[in-house]
Amino acid sequence: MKNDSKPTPPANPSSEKIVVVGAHTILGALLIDSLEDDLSILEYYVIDLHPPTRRLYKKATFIQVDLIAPGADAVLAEELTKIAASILVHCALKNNPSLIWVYAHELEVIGTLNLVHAAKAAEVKKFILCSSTAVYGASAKHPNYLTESTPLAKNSEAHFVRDKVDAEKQVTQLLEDAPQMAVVILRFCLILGPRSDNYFTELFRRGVVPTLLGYDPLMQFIHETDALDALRIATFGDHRGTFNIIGRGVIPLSYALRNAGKVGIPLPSFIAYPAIQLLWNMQMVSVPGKLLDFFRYLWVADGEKAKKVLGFESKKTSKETFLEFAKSKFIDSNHTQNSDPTPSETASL
Amino acid sequence: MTSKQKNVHAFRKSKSSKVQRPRGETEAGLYQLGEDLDKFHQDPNRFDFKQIESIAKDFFSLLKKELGRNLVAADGSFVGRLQKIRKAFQANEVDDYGMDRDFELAIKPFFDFVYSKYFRVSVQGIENIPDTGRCLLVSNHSGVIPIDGAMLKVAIMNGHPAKRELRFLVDDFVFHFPFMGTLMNRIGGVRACPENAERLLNAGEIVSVFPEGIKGISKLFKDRYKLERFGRGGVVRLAMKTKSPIAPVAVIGAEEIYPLIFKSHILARPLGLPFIPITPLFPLLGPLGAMPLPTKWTIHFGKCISYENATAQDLNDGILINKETESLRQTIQQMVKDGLEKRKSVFGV
Repeated sequence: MKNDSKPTPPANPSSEKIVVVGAHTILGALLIDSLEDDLSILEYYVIDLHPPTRRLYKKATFIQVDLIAPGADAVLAEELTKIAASILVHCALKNNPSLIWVYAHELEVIGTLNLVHAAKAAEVKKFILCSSTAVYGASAKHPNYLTESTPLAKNSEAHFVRDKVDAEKQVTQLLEDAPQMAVVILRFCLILGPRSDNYFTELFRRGVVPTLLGYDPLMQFIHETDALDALRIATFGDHRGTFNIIGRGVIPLSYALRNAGKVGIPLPSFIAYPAIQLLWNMQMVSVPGKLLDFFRYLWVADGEKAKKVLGFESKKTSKETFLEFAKSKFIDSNHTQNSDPTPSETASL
Repeated sequence: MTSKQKNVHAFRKSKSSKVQRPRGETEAGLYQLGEDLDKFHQDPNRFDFKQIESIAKDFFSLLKKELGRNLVAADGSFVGRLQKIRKAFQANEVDDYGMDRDFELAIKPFFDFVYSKYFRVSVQGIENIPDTGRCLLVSNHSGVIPIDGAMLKVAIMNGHPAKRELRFLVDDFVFHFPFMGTLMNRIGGVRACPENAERLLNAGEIVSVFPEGIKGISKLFKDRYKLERFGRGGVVRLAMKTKSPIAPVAVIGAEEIYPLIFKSHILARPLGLPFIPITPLFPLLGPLGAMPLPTKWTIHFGKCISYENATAQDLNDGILINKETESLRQTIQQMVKDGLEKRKSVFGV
C-alpha cells in the first residue's frame, strides 16, 4: 500500500466531502476500501441500511438510511446538507437480478429518485451513478459495439434491465433540473475479480452451465481493479457525461466455459427460456429466463469515449480478466490440462 | 440402360475423353454435369427431370469424397478426424469483431472446394483492389442462400497478392437463427448497420456490401441480372463519410444457382424467414433440391471509384447521394451486362 511512503498528514488533503451510497455492492465496497487507504482523504461518508463490516473503516462516518422508506428523500437531504456533501457516488444499484422484483424495483428506481431529490436539495456538486451496460439490452439488431448514444432498452422484459434504465432516467433528469451539478453515469460491463459476485459468476459455481444451442455471443469483462480505477477517475476528476467502462477485447462465451473447465449444456432456445424461468422461480439458477437474451445476442459496449474523455483504458483485457477469474475461483488442475491453454495464455494466468 | 447408369457412363466417358485437361476426376465430372445442365437451361421443357435426381446424387458422392480428403486427420483415423472437427469448432481467440482465424482456416477447405471445383470461379481485375487500407466492395447480390459473399471472400483470400481478409455485412435476420449468426460472425461477418461498417472501414479493413439486400437474393429467375434498387444510398454516404474508395464488383453465374420460380411469404412468416424459395427442384426433391446448381462463375472487380473529395455538405445532400448511388448501380449493371455477353455458357467452360 501507499502507507510506507507518507505516514501522516498528507500535503494537500482533499476538501471534497465524498458520500458513498451502497456499501455492499462490489463497486461501493471497492470504493470505500480505496478511500480508506487513500491518504489524501481524511473522511468520507457511507449511506446504507447496514454498516460495512468487511474491515475497520476508521475514516468512515456511517449514516443509516433506508432508501425506500417513505420520506427517505427528506432525511437524505437533511443529512447531506448537514455534512455539506460535495460528491455523491450512487453504487446501490443491484448486481444481480432479484426474485423479489418489487423490492428491487423500489430500491433501484424509487431509491434513486429519493437520492436525486436529496442531492438537488442539498446542492451536491457532483452526482455519480454506477450503472451497467445491461441497460442497452441484448439484441440481434445491435451493432457490434454500442456507443453511449445508443437508445436504452426501456421496453425490456427483464425487470433487472428496465429498473436500471428507469434509474438512469431519474438521474439524467438532473441535467435539466440542476444544470450546475456535474452528472456522471458510468456503465460498467460484467465485473470479474476475486470479490465479484454477480449473476455471471454465480453460473460458474456449478459444474454444468446451460447454454443456448447455436448461439455463442461475444462477452466483455472488466477486472475489478480497472473498474475501481475508472470510478476513482470519475470521482476525483472534472468530467461529466455518460461513459461505458469496459475491458478491452471480447471473448466468446464458449471459450469462457471451456477455460473454466465447465461443461455447457446446449438447450434449444424455445425450451431454454421457459425451463430457465422455472428454475429461476425455484432459485436454482442465477438468471431469470427473461435475461437469457444476454447469453444469446450481442451487448458489447464501446469504451472509446471513456478513453478519450476520462483517459481511462483497462489494464487487463476481457480475456485476461476472465482467465484470472477462472483460475482464482473455480478452476482446478485437472481442468487446466483438458483445456490445453496456449503458451501465451499460460503466461497471462 | 437406366438414367443412373447412363450418367455414370457419362462420367467415365468424360474422364477418358478429356485427358488433355489437367483436371481431377471431380472437376471433370462437374464439367460433364455442367454440359448436361446447359441443355436444361437451353430447353427446360425437353429435359428429363428424373435425371436431375441421379445427377444430384452423384454430386453428393463427389462432395463427400472431396471433403473426406480434406478433413482426414494425419493418422487417418476416424477418432482423429472427429477430434479435428471438434477442435475447429471451438473458438480460441477471436478478434474484436468475433472473427476466429483458426476456425476460418479449418473450414476453408470446404469453401475452397466450392470455389475452385464446384463453381469453378474465375476472377478478373483483382489488381483493382488496394493492397492496404480501407476499401468498400459493392456487388450484385443473388442466389437465395447468399454464397456470393463467401465466394467473394475466398476470391480475395486466394487471388489477391496481399491475401487480405474480407469482412462482410450480414443481414439482421441471420443473427436471430441458431448457428448461422455465430458461423457468420466467426468467419468475419458483422451485422449490416452503418455503425459496424464505419468502424471497420476506419480500422482500414476491406468490407463487402450487397446494397440490394434481401431484394437481391429473392430475385425471381426471370429477373436475373437486373439489379434492384440500392437501398437508400447508405453505401455512398458511408464511402463519403469514411473517404473510402468503392470497388464495383459483378458476380456472374451466381444468379442461376437457384432458378427461383416462386417465393412464398406466407409459409416463411412463422419461421421468421424473409421468404421460402420455390425452385424446380426445391422443395420437390427435399434437401437434395436445396443443392445449388453448379454454374460457372466469374467475378469481375472494377476500377475503384474515389470519394476523397466529398465534403461534409455533400453528406447532407440527399439528391447528390441518390445520383451517385444510381450511377454506381449503373456501373455494376454495365459490368454484369459485359460479363454476360462474354460468357459462352451458363454451366460449361
